[in-house]
Amino acid sequence: MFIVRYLMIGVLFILIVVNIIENQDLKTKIRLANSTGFELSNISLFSIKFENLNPGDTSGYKEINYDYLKDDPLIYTTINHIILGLYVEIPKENKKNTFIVDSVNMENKRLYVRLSQ
Amino acid sequence: MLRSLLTILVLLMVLNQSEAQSIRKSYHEMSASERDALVGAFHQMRLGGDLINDLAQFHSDFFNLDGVGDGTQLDIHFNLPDEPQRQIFFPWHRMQIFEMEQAMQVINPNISMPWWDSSVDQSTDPNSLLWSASFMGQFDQAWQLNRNLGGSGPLPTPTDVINLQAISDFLVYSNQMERGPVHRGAHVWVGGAMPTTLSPRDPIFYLHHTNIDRLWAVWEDANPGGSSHIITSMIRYDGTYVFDGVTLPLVDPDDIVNTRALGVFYANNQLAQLSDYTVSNTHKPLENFYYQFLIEAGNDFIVPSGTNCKLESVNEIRLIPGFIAESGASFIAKIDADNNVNTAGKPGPNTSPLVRVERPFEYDEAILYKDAYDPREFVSGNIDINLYPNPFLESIVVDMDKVYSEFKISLFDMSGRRLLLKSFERQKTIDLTGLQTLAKGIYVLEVMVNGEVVLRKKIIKE
Repeated sequence: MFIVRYLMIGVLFILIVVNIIENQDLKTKIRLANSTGFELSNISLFSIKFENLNPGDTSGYKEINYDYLKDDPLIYTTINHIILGLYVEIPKENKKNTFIVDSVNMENKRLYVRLSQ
Repeated sequence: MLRSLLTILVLLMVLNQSEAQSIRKSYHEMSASERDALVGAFHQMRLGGDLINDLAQFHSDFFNLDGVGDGTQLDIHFNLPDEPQRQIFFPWHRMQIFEMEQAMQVINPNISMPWWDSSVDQSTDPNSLLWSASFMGQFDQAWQLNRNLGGSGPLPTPTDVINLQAISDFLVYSNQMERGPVHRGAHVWVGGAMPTTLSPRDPIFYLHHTNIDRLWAVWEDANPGGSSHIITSMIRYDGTYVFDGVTLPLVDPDDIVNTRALGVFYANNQLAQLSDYTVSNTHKPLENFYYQFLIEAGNDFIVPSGTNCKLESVNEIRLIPGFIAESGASFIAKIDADNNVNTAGKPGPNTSPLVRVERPFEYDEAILYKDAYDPREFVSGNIDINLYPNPFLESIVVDMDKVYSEFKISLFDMSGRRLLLKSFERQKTIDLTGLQTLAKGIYVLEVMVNGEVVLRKKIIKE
């Protein structure tokens, strides 16, 4: 009887932990990957600041509770002191969203960004 | 050397500008000649100082500076909801369109910036009027815009527009307009340069933002005095910016809340109503209002002594009560009957930019029909006509009771816009095909025999 009681408490504890982990995964997260040959600085994505990204770098995930009336639906960055900006796809809710800066056309000052889950 | 000459030419054009205000309209209401003139003007704006790129670069440089600099710099976009003291989204773009329009009117005083209502006009067809190679389509390749129509996101719906226009608080309205689908949608949907901060590189930007400006004007009419701004000047329009040797004026956003301050009126459904306006020649020595369809001036439309004003229409001008041209004023009301006024001489080394050349003015002959649109159903007792199927999907058959030497069939949407006009001779049964591209909804089909309406019936597209 004593063992059964401890087993039930243990199972309950495991369920609570699993639930917490699952809930964490349900949050919407975004990160940024730099596949260009340029350093990206002054990065802002949906009004969330990111550290500078060297070529090939990927940022850590950041939680976002996207509010279209407050958060700019764009990525802004500067490359060689030139400001570039682009409207981007809205992140999928309750998913991990990776925005990949594939390339940059500095002549046209154009970023090419795609969203990957 | 060539660039210097072009710069001097454009500067001379600016110094010699003499007329034009504007009646803005949907691009659907432009004649073919007006569309040609607009396209030509866009190309000419790339000459000299290159106003297209200057405005695009400025728009990009000051798009939003929250993430860079010291945070005190003024910018154009996304100041709401946290920085209402800086918000200039509506008035800045109003001035941007006006600056472009004024520059174009130096080339051709009858040009006005048309609008594209992306909530109801969503075709990606390269043969559609908007995206055809003779209109906006040509810029994609010529200017390396790399558009991707419809590839990156949806356009707004009419419901989006209705809900937006119902907002009564200006700051909420401005913020939702800027961030929501009505403004953002077209930028993303067009692709190429449009989703970037350099979006004004694409001429469709001006048609899109003219529609945004029109919606603001409609909103302000419905909420008189509702629009107000804390800031009293705007970057670029702060009295210090110089383009092509000319210093742009300082503009207080609150001074241009009403489009009449710029001499701008919005026409719709073949009607331009000019009212509550006093000609001042503030922007041009001759205020010139040109429209293919009906111009109706009155209700305190005043041409004071010493001012110059011209109304010009291909179709009709009505001066209604409240129209006053005072003694000493110069006022001209002109029907564009000779159809040669809508073209200006192309600027060149030996030509004045305002010298006009003879060219037929192509207009929609449908405007000559006295009964262009009436939504009421009507069936003549003398002629028996069958329409089937109704509702329809791709085509509809019009079966007359006998062979007629000549008759015309028109199709209207419920806003009164004529979508189709076809003439037939010595036929009894007509299969109107190619209707599958129409949006679902109610339309009005009209049959005219010998100039008289014999049938007007609502039909349903499924």
